[in-house]
Amino acid sequence: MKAFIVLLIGILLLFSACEIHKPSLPVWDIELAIPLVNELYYVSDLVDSVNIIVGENDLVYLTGSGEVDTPDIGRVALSPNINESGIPIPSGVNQDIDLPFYDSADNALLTYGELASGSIRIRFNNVATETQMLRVSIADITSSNGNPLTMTYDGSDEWQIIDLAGYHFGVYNSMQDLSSLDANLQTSSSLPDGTILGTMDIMLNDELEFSVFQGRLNHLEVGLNSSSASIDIDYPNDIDQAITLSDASLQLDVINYMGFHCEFEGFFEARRGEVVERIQIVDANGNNFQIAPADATGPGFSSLAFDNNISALMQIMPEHIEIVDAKFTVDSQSGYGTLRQEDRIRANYTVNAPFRFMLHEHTITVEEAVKINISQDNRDYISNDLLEAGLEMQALNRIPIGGWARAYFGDTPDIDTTDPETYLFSKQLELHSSETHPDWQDLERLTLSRSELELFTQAEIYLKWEFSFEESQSLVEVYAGSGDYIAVRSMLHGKVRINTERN
Amino acid sequence: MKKIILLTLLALLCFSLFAVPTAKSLFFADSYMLRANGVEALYWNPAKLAIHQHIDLWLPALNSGIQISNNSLDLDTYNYFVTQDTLSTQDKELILNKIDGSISVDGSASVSVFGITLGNTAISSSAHMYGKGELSKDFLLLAFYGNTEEEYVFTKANNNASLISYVDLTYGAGDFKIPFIPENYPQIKAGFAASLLAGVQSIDTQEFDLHFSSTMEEGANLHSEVLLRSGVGGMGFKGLLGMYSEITPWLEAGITVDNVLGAINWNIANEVRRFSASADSVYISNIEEDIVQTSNEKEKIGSFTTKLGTEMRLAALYKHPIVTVSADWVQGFSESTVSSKVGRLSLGAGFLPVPYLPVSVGISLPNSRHPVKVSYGVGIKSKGNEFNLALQSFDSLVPGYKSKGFSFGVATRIWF
Repeated sequence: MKAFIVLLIGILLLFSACEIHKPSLPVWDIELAIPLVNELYYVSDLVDSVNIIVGENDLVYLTGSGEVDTPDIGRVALSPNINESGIPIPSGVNQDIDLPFYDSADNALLTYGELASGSIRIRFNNVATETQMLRVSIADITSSNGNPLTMTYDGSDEWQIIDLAGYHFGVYNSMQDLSSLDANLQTSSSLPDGTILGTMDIMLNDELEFSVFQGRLNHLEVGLNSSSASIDIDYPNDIDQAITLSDASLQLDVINYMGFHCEFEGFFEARRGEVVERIQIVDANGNNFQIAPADATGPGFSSLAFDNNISALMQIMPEHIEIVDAKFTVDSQSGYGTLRQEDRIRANYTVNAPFRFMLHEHTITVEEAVKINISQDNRDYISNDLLEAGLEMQALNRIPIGGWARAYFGDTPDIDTTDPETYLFSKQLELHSSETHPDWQDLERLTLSRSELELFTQAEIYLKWEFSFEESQSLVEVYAGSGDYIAVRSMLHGKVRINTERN
Repeated sequence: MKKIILLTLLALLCFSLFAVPTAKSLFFADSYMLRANGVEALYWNPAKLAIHQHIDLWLPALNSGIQISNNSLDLDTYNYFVTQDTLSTQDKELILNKIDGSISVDGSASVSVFGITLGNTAISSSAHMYGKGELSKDFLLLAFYGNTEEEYVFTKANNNASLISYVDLTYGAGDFKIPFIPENYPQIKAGFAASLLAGVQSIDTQEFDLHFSSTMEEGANLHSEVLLRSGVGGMGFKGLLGMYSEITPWLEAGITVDNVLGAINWNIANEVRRFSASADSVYISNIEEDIVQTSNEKEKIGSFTTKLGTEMRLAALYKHPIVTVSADWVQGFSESTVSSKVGRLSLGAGFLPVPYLPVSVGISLPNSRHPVKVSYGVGIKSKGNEFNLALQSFDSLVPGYKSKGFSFGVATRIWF
């Protein structure tokens, strides 16, 4: 029995000698590899059909458009010189009188007009008391309802001033010069026929302003509204120092609401600082462009194309482009036509600059640092669990543009990329052009050490970008076809602390 | 996914709590076929059922055993793991180096209900539970190091769990002399046992496929399909045939075939639970709310049958007045929760240093599935009853910090 107890105690001792600790998980670190992105970034995605368009052969164009116009043409003024006095008035007659009508300034020949302002004066002198009726009508001047202008003796010998606003001169669309006005005198009295009843004076020598004018003009100039004829270009981050555009073209679509042919004269002027480049806006033969008139069906359209003519302007990477000394001219060569006072000339211009340029190695620094807010959860996670992070990247560049981008991280917005004291660390990525690297490129792995990750435990951090293009040895052309893209794939690597008590 | 892991762990835990054919076998590291007699012979070799010619009695719970083991980690490693504040790479390697392909956990238990012998027959009942689970080493590699490889594939071969529990009602008869044995040949005796099995619960892994990859080219991809089948309540049968011969007064040899026609038909509350998850080409940049499509479907199913794999056991026993030495070889013919196709050799020895103090030791040699198993037993014996305690250690000669598992058994016999 004793031996059994000894053996039993021995077995129990073996058991009890073994201490089994309470289950508790330690902390350890693991590496996680998480796919981040695998995307094709097509050049065609940049095309917004507004500022960036795809042209022939899928070449990408930077396009800009705007509208320029002239002020309203306004009223056409004409200065007649009718001043007839002492015209005898016989009794019992129906007599025609021819009043010569011409522009004393010799600028216009009227065939038809709607008068906006102007007047005619008439005075009857020493009219016999036996006079029963005395009336003068002008058939070439009609009211809006078609009645000829009629002036009647009213017993007074004072000047009658008749406001002609709203009266029409001549016949609409007759295109017959109105060189004289046909007046008609009608009288009746108790005196024998032929007896002189008195005299009359007629004056039409004040300026007439027509709101609608048909006829010929010897000279009319209409300038552009200067404020609408200029473009200011603000190149972001001095990118103009890294790019030289090869060529550009401009198309001017002119909409002419005037019923006259006219000629367009003007210059494009580009400025970059003190450098001024100016070219004359003329056709391929060096002649001024002719603008078609409006007709009964609507305004006249003229499309003026400047193929490659403005390349010289674009190559200075202008900060300001303006159409200067521009005017539309109507002259005797323009023939007969119609003008309304609200008529104007409007032009839509489109500047197309193909993505064909030279790239220069020039560091471009984005002026403003980007503020990044980091949530408390993420800060806690980074602070407690994330030990290292890295980004493994590959890229397939199908675009003949290469370069590098460098990100500067700091805890203040005052990051000066030239002063390491103002930021905590920087990371750089380099992507080569498809011309030199047609296959997948292994981009330099970006890693963040534990000390660098400490920055991300702050609520706000700042990021400033700096980048530069690879110098191109020749002109670079960017297309937007299905094979023009940058493919990027990357894997996020993180060293993470497993802490089951906290997690 | 979380549910799958939880269920798998629960299953592993459950499996770890039960097993062992009869408690006394623990004393000899399962080298027990020719040592079992009385009621115990119903489970080991019914041919030896009536060898002592008296009435043997089993009382509830007094013959019980439990076994927990795994193939990889010892207590020392466990303690080291749970007491470390931080796990270094060396610590991880220390643990991973102990695992060969997968970590498997086995468990079994048996609890006696009652038993009695009457002449050359006996009837008994006991409850059994067997379970095993296996988890690929790659899971631990993932947990310790993260997804350092581009692709991970997990299959049922290394990731599975199964459990079966039942109560038997066994009747057997033995001590039948094999006829036509020449007189100058040793007598061969035979016996049989037939068990009606009342199935309590069954769980088994029907499918386990998990594929996970993470590459720059194809993103993160996950495809998993786990199908667990479970049954509650069933009826079954198993037979045990045995023979033995006392070749000489000092040497016995025997053979048994267990689980003959062994099967349980589950037919009361059966279901399959399918867990699936999939995610295709996931990148952080295109993450949406539901990046992983998961489903957890439960479906009632009709009856199904769990086969209990047939096992053959060969044994020899050398008897000496103060020492007995035995050797058992067990070979399954199929893989099942209760059987293995990988054979195993066990050796046992019993001593009687003083007449009332039986002492036993046993060793079960390791195979590709199981570590070495060493048993120590001691008892107190008097006329008509005995009480025994046994302890078993896995992969360590002495139960202690280097053990990868323990078994504990209590065996009580009363005879008159």
